[in-house]
Amino acid sequence: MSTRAATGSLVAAALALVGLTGTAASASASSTKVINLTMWQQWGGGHEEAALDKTIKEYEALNPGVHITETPVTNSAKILTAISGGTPPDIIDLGTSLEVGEWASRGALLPMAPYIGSSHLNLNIYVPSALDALTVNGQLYGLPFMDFDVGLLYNKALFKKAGLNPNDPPTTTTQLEADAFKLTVQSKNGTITQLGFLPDYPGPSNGQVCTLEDMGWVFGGQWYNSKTHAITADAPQNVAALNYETSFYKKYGPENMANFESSSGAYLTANDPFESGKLAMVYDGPWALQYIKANRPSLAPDIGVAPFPAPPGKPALSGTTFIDTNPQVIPRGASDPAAAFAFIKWETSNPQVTATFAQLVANLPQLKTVPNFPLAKDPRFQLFIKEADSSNAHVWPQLPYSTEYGVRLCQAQSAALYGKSTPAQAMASLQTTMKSASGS
Amino acid sequence: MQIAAVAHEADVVRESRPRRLLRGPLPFLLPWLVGFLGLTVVPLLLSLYWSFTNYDMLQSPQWVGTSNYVQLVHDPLFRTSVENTAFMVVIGAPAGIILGLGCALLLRRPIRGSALYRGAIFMPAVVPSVAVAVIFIWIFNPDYGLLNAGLGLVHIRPQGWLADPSLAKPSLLILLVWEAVGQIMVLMLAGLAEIPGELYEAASLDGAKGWQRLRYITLPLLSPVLFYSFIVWIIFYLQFFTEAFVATASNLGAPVNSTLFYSIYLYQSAFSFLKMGYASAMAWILFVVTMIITVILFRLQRRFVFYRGEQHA
Repeated sequence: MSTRAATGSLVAAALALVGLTGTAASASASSTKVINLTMWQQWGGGHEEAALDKTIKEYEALNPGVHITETPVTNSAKILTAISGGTPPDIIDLGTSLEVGEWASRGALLPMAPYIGSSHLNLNIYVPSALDALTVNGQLYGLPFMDFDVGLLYNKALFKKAGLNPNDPPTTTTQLEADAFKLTVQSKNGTITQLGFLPDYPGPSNGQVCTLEDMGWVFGGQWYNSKTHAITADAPQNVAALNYETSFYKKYGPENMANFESSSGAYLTANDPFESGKLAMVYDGPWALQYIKANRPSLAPDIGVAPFPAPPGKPALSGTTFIDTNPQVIPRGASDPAAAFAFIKWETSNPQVTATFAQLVANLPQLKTVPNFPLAKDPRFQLFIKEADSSNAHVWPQLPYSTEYGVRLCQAQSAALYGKSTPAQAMASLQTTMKSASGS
Repeated sequence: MQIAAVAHEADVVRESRPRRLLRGPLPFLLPWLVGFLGLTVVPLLLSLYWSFTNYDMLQSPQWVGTSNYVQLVHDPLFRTSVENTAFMVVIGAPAGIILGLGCALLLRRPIRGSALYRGAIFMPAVVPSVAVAVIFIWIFNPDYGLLNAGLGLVHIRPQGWLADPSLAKPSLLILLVWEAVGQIMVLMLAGLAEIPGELYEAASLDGAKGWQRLRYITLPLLSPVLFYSFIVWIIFYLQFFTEAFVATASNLGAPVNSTLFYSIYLYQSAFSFLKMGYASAMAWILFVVTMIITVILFRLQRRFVFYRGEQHA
């Protein structure tokens, strides 16, 4: 075959292809019905995926012609590669907002403003702090779905055994430290068989950065000043928070603490330190209650919930927590952003869907008003709902370098906990690194 | 006449070379060529360009000159990752080779069950590294792990292994050497089999003892194999990634950056911090350093490596 002939046939093939796609496009335009959307979701398989599928079916029934295909995807590197490669899904359901600041400020996510305007969505229906988690440079990049925050969960049986009043959980950080000491059982060779409080647990597993950010807020600190646009990692309150965490490690020995944690089972399994009854107090969220109910039914009634203690003399800081949501975002390059928005608007603003999911995953409704669901009657769950709407609920700063800030925060935390540097040094070096990373 | 015919044939060859290439080797080479160009050459050149840019994979790269390289020099974590990697290279490569050589020397002669021993020692090499890492996470578990259970029998205090910042690197080395010894042993056995028996015989007649035979016959004649192993394993440890990535997946570099190896930090910079330019600069530094180390080793080769073939020439 000559070169010319080969080129000719290539051109013909290309023309045929163009013709084909052209017809497909005009066919869908004429009927204006068939819309295929893809969604990547972080709920994974199991009953959560089943609930999502049911929600999608309901939406498809209401909107004939719309087909949504969901796939479980949790790996953020994969999501990133898809967006940068120009082949993203239409909707991404993220597990946390930790990467939203980074992706949004780099143009990977579509701002909601144009779609909200044309669809007359009233943002006042959402719990405000959840919207904060999706706001980058004053712009909203996604809609919230299922909020989550944390409080003090404690094992009443262990309190009783240690001679503490099970209905009197600590209200100050000093008291927490003293109670934790009484709740700790350590053998002569240092092995910890029971621990009162593990200050950096569960860390990133439950959607936080690594607990130190919460502890900083508990002590009245901030991590970013949005007015001066400055990193404030070395604020004295943050150093005090790290000092507080470090005091636990000093008291029981860093290697003993590390062994205690790494010899426990994975988070939210029957063998995790709290569910196995080896850890007396934990800074965690309402979903833990559901997992305990499923994994260790006998322990469930013994779990008490209280606002996380405040530093002595500052009761206003009681009940400090992080607040986050499962962002429903539309990536750059989505094939049909308007149709994608229509779905996330319906999903996140539908009270019945919200109540069903909140009951199922024991997360907080992102809507201010939802039909009553069984879990909402549990006073322990109500505490988390109340906390979410308080001024002590904080959002990790949404910046172009949020992920790096978070990772380095964890590194600074562990350096101090293991005595590689003092808390003040760790925070000072974090401040320097992040200042140069932020280019200021 | 003959000369003319050959010349004529050469002309024919020259004329139809493109066509012959198309009909001959090219279609067979093409799948490899496409992969080589698309997956190696182009990315390689792109990464060189990106190393001089700010590039986050989401926006187009911006030229920043040598700023990434300058920043690296001042980055304390970069230094930590270099130190951690150097530890693995300096201890890991010799440890694996010495142990591999030791096993080969012990199992060199056909003793009873030597095939079984050889097989058992080689076995780890066929287990995928991710599986090995997962298994060792359990072996190293401070409370329920096999290792501490074994130490407990001889009244040694349980250790934190992967959880203890001062033990995490040595623990990973235990795992890696366990994986490597079998492969190195097989190579050494092949090398040992090449050494002619007469040399040992002659040495014995001259009164050489076991150590002298090892020092003056075995090691010099094995030196090409040793040299090859050193280069391969040094490069392996310079690029070491998989097992450390699996063992610390949820918290790369934990505990306290003690397992933050060069490739791990490179990966983290690229895919967590979206600093593809910075990561590309790291990749090129690694490439240059690997090159320099290899060149130095090749220079040293002249002094320490002995090729029998050269003697005849």
